[in-house]
Amino acid sequence: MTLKPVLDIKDLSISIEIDAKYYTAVEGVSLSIGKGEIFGLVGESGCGKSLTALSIAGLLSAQLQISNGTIAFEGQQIEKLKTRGMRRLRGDRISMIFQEPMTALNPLMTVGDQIGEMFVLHRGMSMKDARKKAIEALDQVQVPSPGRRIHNYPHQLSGGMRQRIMIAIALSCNPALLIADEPTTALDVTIQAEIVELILELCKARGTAVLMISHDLGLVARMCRRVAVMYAGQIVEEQFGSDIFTGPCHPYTKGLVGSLPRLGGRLEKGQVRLNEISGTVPSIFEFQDGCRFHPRCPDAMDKCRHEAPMQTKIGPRGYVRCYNYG
Amino acid sequence: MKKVSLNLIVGSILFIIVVVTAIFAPLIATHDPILDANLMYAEEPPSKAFLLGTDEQGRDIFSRIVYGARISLMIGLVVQMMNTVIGVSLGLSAGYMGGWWDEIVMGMTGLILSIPTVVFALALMSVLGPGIGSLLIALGMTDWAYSCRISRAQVLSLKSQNYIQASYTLGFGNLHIMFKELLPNMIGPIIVIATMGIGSAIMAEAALSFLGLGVVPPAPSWGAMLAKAREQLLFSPWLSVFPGLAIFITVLGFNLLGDGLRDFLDPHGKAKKI
Amino acid sequence: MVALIFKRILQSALTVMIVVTLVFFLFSVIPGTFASSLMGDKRSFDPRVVERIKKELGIDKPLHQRFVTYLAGLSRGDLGKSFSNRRPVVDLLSSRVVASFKLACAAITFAIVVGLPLGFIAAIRAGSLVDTVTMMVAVSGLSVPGFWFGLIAMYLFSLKLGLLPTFGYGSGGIRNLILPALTLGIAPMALLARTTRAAVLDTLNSDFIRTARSKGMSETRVVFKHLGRNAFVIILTTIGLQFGSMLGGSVVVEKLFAWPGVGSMLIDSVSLRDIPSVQGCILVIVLFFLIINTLVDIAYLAIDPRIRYQ
Repeated sequence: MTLKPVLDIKDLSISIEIDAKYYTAVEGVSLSIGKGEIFGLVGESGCGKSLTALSIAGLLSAQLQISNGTIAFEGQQIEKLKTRGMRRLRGDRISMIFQEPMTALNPLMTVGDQIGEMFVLHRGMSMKDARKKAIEALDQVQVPSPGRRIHNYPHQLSGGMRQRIMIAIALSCNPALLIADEPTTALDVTIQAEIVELILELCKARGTAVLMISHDLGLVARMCRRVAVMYAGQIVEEQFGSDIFTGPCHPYTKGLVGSLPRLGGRLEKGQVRLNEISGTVPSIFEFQDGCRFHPRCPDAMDKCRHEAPMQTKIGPRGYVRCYNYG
Repeated sequence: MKKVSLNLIVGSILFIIVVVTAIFAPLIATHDPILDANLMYAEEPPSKAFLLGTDEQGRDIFSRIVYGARISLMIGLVVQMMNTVIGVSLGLSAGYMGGWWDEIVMGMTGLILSIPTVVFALALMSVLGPGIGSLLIALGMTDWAYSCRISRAQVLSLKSQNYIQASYTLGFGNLHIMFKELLPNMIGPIIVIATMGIGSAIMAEAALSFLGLGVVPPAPSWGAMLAKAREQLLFSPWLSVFPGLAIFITVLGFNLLGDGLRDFLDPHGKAKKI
Repeated sequence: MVALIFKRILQSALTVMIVVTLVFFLFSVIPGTFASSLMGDKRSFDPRVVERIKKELGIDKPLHQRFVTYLAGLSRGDLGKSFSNRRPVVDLLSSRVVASFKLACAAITFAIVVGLPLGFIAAIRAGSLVDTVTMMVAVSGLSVPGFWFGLIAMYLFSLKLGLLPTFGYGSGGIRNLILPALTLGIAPMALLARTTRAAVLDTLNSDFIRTARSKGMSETRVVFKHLGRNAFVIILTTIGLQFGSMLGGSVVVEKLFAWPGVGSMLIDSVSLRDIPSVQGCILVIVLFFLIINTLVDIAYLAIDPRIRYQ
């Protein structure tokens, strides 16, 4: 398949300015998403996955800057695009949904107006026509009685309902790429599955590519064709979703998979409690030379302390940053 | 990270200047502010002998302003201390105990807020009679509403914290919890409000003295000096400039200090405002 | 929603009643009476004269009886007669209230027109020189004693430059209004600038602003359609509080500029121990504050759906 990828990020680095000093929050990130492909980005809080997402949409706040690398969207370089150019893409070609649906919606506007706004902005409709489209959009995200719902305010709806509204907003103009930044983290476990299914269903139907960001490896591995694992600002492994769970390569990924509690499983010999990865994630002030994971790595070698490992291919279209593989 | 802002620096400098002036007044002033009055030199513009000129009684304005710092600071500190103690006790207890006591305190606060400070102080002073004692009492009872609201809001947000619940479960008495656990965690915003409150207290005293109801001449209150200066505005305008400037610098100092303390203690603005 | 409004109005009415009662009983215990203030410094005065004055003024009757009479009068809209000039307090107050109200409106208009944009610009350009300078101006505005500013302004614009009248109400026109309104409006303007800056900054960092931006709308639209209303909700309270306390808070400005408002009437009445006038003034001051704040609360019900649909 040699179709042009929808999103092609090469060697992206993001720097942050704190107290007049610059630190690298994200370094050397590369990934590429094809048309209609579901791609997962996994990592703990603070690993830089949200920053990567925001940089694609051009929503980085003032202290953050893309210091290196390129982002190509539908063939066009967008990392240097000025505000007006980015604005034309946002909502129309690239959409985002966020983690906290309650605070992500304007409390003073009706839900219908907030969805309708998309049509006013990008399709030049009148608010009256836009509201009719909003009812359609609500119907597509499976919200019952959409005709009445459009007059509701966000605080009158449940968390799951609000996230559906966000999805309706994001997909209203049929974007080529949907960035979903931890869309289910703030929701009840029972709703999480529904929302994930909804996103998958809608995007598959429209051919929308999805960048799914989460800290939940299990969730992502199941629904995404390919998964990348981030640690301390870098991508340490990328594999097919089906493979990464059964055959993790990077010691960090192994640790993630191994630390998942398994219901009904037998304790292995000598095991007394949940597995964990010892140590803590370094902050951006603490990045050391060499591999960033080596202080916590059970398979660390002497080399790991001095030089950061480059990407090594493992199998078809998968790679890992680890000296244990070459 | 604790942030030392420009506000804090400038505010502290001004604060120190005023305090030093008040404490070392006898050393700084060139004349006696009350007794050294010579009608021959009345209403003279600034000169070498009289740094800022003389007033209508022939007294040196510079010395009166220097000694005036003592009056303003003393009144400001005492008044604000009273207000803070009243406000914090009421707010702390109202927030902690809730129920009918809370309703009463909130009602009182609403009542006090509906009457402007000057008016309320006026009313109280006419009951208590003139003089510095009644001035202190009157002002000390009119401005506690703000610190009360803030304390109450703080208590309400801290009350649900786990360590408070833990203390309660462990059997610590209410007083202990209020004073040993809640209060220390509320000190930050209270200090900020108190600092800026000193500024308002000084302003209020100046306003009342300007109206002739606060500190009476011949005491060198800045507000009273301005009242007298008003009568001579056309012919001796400099009389109006310096006392007001003194009030401005002092109150500015306290306001900046309060802002600076807020920046320092709570750089991310996490503390809730009313 | 109507129920909420009713509840607020009831609360305000209760507050007014409490204040009226408090003031009545407070002023019946002040040392010195109207009679003694008339006599001035004379130590010896004919007790029969005092008795006659007391009878005329109606203060020879016992306290609780006077209170009932007063309340009865209140319900009719009669606030009693002033001790010093025997005219009904209501008449005296009506022209005064108009004057104070004019002053308050002018002052709050100045405060809003200058303070809001100042605070807004400071927030949008937070951390820049513009921000620092604007906030310095604001803090100075809060620290300046109103009467000092008034004096200086009076000297400069009136006495020296002759542009504006020095004091007095004049014919009630704008020229007389300018200096007092500016003097009264400086502190509220500064406070509004600070409050606006805080509200805008707070809202700017909200998640829904990020969502709005991610929808691809222009920054202008983000600011006016999404930020504006949300920030204004916070600012409205401050405007209400400031405006509401202006009727009585203008005491000093009114004295300085000889503005015939409620504040100056209050001071004069207090020194004369003219109790009915004092009570009338305080009643009006408190009433005004409560009315304004009830209106603000009602406005909130209309603007913020979270309060409407509980």
